[in-house]
Amino acid sequence: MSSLKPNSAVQSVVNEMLAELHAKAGCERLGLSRVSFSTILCEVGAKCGASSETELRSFFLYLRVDELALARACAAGENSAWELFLTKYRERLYLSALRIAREDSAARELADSLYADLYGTATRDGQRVSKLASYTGRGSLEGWLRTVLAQEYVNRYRRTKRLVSLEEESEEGAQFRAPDPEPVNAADNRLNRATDQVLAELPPEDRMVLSAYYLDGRTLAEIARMLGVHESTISRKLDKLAKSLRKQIVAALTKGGMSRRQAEEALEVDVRDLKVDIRRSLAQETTPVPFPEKRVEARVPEGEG
Amino acid sequence: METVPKIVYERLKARALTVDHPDPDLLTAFSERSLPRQERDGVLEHLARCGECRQVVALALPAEESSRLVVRPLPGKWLTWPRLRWGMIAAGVIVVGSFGALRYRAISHPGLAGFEKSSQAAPMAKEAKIQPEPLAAPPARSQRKAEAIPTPLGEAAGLVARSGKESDSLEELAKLQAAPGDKNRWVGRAVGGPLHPRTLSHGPKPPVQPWQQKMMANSDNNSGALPSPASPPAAPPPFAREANNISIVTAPAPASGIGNSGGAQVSLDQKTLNKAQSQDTLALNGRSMTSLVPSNDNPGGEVARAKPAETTANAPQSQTAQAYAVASAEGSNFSPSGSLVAESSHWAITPLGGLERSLDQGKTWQEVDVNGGAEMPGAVNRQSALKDSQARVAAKQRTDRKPKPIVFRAVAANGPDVWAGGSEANLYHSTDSGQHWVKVVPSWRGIELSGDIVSLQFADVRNGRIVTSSAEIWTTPDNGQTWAKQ
Repeated sequence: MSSLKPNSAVQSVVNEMLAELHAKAGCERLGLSRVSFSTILCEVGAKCGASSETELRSFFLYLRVDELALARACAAGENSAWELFLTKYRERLYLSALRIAREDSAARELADSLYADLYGTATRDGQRVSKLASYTGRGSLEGWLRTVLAQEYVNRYRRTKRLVSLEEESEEGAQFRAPDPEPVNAADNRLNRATDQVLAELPPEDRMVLSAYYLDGRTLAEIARMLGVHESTISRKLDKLAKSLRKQIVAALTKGGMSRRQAEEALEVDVRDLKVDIRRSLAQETTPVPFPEKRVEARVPEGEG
Repeated sequence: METVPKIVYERLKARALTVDHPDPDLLTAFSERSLPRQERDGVLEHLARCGECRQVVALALPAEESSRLVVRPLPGKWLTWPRLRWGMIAAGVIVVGSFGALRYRAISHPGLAGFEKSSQAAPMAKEAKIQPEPLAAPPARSQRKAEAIPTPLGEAAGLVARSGKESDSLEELAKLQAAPGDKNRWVGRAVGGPLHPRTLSHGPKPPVQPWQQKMMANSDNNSGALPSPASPPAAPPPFAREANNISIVTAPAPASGIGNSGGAQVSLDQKTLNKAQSQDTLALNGRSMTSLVPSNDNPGGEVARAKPAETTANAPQSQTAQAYAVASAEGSNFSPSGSLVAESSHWAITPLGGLERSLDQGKTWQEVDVNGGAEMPGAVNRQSALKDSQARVAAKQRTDRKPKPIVFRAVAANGPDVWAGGSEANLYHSTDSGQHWVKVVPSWRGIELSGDIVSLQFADVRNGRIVTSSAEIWTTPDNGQTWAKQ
């Protein structure tokens, strides 16, 4: 995200498209001046990672500038924008919170805390800092709100999780925590390596599907919705993966010097064992990293510097 | 952190980058599938390793309904494969079904016609066979022409003599004919060069205007055939024959029936046209004329009546006197002024007694063969004298040189339902605009219809009325299923 060099390119593209985007976003209505909007666009453009000018151009064209302008105007403390935001999203925010928390009081608490963040209760150098300032308009504002809610919810869950007794934790199972890394068994080393290798060769989407299905125990429908595809696509993909993975792992093992028989024994020729294998390889993450809660604060000095 | 060596710091940073959770922005864009491929793969890579982000993404999914709206635009929903699959199956069934139905009809229909033919025509047909007419005629109101039937001139002259009255003028005749309820009707006459006006009608006589009509007999000795003045604009012109000979064509009106019901409206046309045409014109045209005399107030307007025209000519071998009267099948729309409501199929009787059909409102005509070859142009040479209901006896004489062909005198059509009647009680019925014909022999209490059919009236598809040259009137209330003689 170092952005000194792209900045000039971003700046020029932003300057070029500013009039169009400014009008499209309806900034006048929201009380957002061209200069401030240009600053916002530059910041967003610098983050996007697009290198060429055409990429930047299409990035800006696809950007949801109207929602971006609304969010940033709210962050800047424009009352009219804030009212508009509330009429538009208040209800939906509560509904989303309810769906995530599945319980009314928890949902209200979740939503209220998010409101506080959005409005920017925390101050820094005498300035309110709103979480809305971190919205860049790449997705819809509503989707972004849901994501932020979900992150908040997961963070809270983890926090409360730490407070529950060990017994309870073991009863419930470590839903949100990746399983603790087991010491690598020397005898399994070759198998692990082979599995890692095979998994690494998979496209990221396949690995994601495997993780979501085997680690999280998500349903096919959920995974399908996450990826925006049809349920049957996921089902077919999983079938195919389960078949091919075993073959490939065996092949990798034999390549590594094992006889085929040994390889199959090592794999234990059982689907459930295969699953276990996958589990281990997928769950590489060690320590859960909490979602940044005050990301904006962290970013602002960075951007300024 | 300061104590940590720089390389460790770098490693940590690198590690933190991979472990670092994607922005809510990025995750949202990922869920909404608006990320470019590269970034999407990056997010997927992270999601594959990070259970929490998977959790976040799953939790942040929109509610079912909205997700459908977002992910799949509505129009796309109708083109999903399950729908298409069922749609294709349904379309296939429809195609096969309709094809089968068409085939069935194509196969079964001719068979049906054949059955009718064998069952009805065989025992009853006198001389005609019924044959399906290959020409397709769109069902439509038809226009009928009643045509005077040529008669050998000599005989016709005799007839005229017998009739005892001669009309002086066509106009007068036309007037007579036009008079509603007048039982004495006179059909056109052809007049030889130096006029021999004759009074043909028995009816009360309006003032007679001298009228001359010249006819020139054809060089080939045909008696002049006369285009009926009544022929409406749609009527084909070629009926006029140059007649070198002077001939008198008389057509005694068939008797009683006409008076009662009113014949075709043709008479009015004739009247008007007769008036419009001066004698000179007629003479100059060199055409003998035969006028038809249907009565004019037929409510149904359905009837075209052909009256046999007795043609008297100097030339003994005159073949035809041609007169054309065209009646519209337009129901009561028929206008006496001769304006026809042009519709798709029109029916007419040719001068030779053949049946004609026009599909283009009278521009072209095609002969319709009810029995496949019985009608031979030129072979028709017969005359019949029709009688007044009161006084006249139908005199029917034949000078057939060949096996008798059917000479049609009248045709009536209601849409595709066509009736055609002619000499020797030949009555044919078609329900498909003349494609297939069935010979019908009306009988009532053991009596069969006899004589020439000179008038056919069908007020609607069911109710019909036939007048014969023997002054019989037959009616049917059910489209020819049963008949009653009056």
